[in-house]
Amino acid sequence: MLTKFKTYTTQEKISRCSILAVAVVLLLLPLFITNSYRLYFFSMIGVYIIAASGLDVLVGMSGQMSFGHIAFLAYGGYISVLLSNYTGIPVMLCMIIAAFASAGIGMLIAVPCAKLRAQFLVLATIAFAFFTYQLICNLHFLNPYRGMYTQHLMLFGLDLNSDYRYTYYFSFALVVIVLVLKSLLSRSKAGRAMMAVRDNSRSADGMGINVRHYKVLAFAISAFLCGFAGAYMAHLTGFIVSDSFVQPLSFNFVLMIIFGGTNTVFGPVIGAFMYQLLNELLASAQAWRSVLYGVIVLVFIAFLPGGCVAGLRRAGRGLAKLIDKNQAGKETARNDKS
Amino acid sequence: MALLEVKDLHYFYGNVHALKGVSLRVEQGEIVTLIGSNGAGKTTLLRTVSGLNPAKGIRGEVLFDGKPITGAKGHNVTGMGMAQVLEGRHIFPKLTVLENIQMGAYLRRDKAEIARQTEELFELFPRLKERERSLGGTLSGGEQEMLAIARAMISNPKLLLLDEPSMGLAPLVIHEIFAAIRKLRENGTTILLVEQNSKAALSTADRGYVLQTGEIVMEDTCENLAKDPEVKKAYLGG
Repeated sequence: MLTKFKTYTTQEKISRCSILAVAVVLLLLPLFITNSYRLYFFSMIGVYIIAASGLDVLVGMSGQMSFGHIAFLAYGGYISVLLSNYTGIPVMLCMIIAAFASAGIGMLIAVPCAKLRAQFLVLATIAFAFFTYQLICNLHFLNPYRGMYTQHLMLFGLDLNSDYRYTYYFSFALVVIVLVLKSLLSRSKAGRAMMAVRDNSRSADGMGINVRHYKVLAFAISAFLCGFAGAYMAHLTGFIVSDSFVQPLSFNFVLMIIFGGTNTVFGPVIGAFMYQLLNELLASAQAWRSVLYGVIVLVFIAFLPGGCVAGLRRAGRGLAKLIDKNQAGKETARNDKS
Repeated sequence: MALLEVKDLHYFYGNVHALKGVSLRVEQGEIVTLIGSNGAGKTTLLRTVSGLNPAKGIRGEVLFDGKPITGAKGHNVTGMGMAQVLEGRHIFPKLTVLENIQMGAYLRRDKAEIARQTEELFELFPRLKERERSLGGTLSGGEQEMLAIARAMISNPKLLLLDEPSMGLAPLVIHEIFAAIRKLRENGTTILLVEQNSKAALSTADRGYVLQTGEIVMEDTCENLAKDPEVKKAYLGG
């Protein structure tokens, strides 16, 4: 019993230390990278992490699939841009309002969708993304084809867009907030209830959980995060155009959570980094890129269905065992001497 | 007043008339068993009572603790003090044993009391205590059944509905589970037990009903039922 407890803590130590190390490296990164494009590229990963975390609440936690989440980024983006362009509301507040509006839309969609099973739900979300794209294209005041310029991100009078180091740290802070909230959610009663619904909706009902209520709630939370990501993306790039929101882009977020691992806090983080790096590395592959993605996804599903996080956990457990054995060996040696 | 009273209950799956006017009662503190062969309507009856079947197929009346609950939603019925262990366990495979039990206490807010009762349930099922941190899906069939019972009991139910607790289990494990069921009754839990394993059911329960193609054909104490020649022939293997 005692040794079991010990390995557990060693493993915990390893995971805590590696998370801390990665965080420190990421915090110091702008000191080494001066190329503004690279920093923009890293800031953009923040958008992806938030959106992928949002999708993960739906897919990983509540067990519903969506291939149309790009639509929520579109709503968040356009609502925030319109608000900030035509009213005097500060940009930060616009982003939050847009996220809430997106959550409201998510709820509206979820009420009929929560009744649908697997493949029908997927079809409904795809249809929703197509509908949203067409809607944007037909609203001429959005200037959908040429795009619109957006307001800069202002934080306490500081123009974040003036230097991508600022947006980098802003992304970092946002991601930390989202990850903390997500891990709190997964430990809360509501989070557990969603997982119970995912595992077995009939038993969940038998536990007194209102199944539909939690399915709709998961949709709303995930739409909130994706809407916020969309709004942030629009202000970060300084430009919003309908082509950023075509339905196939939804698959990118699904890829990220498959790469990283579903229903984990750090899965979307690793997934978003992997996705962005692969994108850059495979940029020269052009048309072959999607083929390669297909192969990579298949490899992940076949050999690492839990994503990178599951792989890292396994590695961490192995390392912990090794360390414990080593320490136990030393201790017995010491005991023998005395 | 009976804890559960079912009056002339009919259930229709579309055109299929699955329950044809079933009436039964479960008094406070007793174990009542419902036996019958495949397709007799045992599970349908349980699911209709506990609100897991769609309400539109129901005709008749169900009274729980004196209040009508006919056609009420499953999660609302749970809140009134009825807990159900579904046929085939249906535990949450990706949650740990402890988390599974905690899910059963979803509607309760008294954390200290929940923790105390969890320990009590671990005393009843020591095997679960050993596997506290394991994922539900990694348990054996018998352990899953124990987990499902523990998960139902932590909601502090007035009435526990058990659907086929012996399904697919080895005789020794069945024995262990029925011993636990008897212990639960000693602690004052009222139980409605649906079983195909009539021998085990009749030796555990106080009274029994025999369900045949959607109708109650016999009702008596378990002692008398076990002696009845027709029951012997049809359900106890001669």
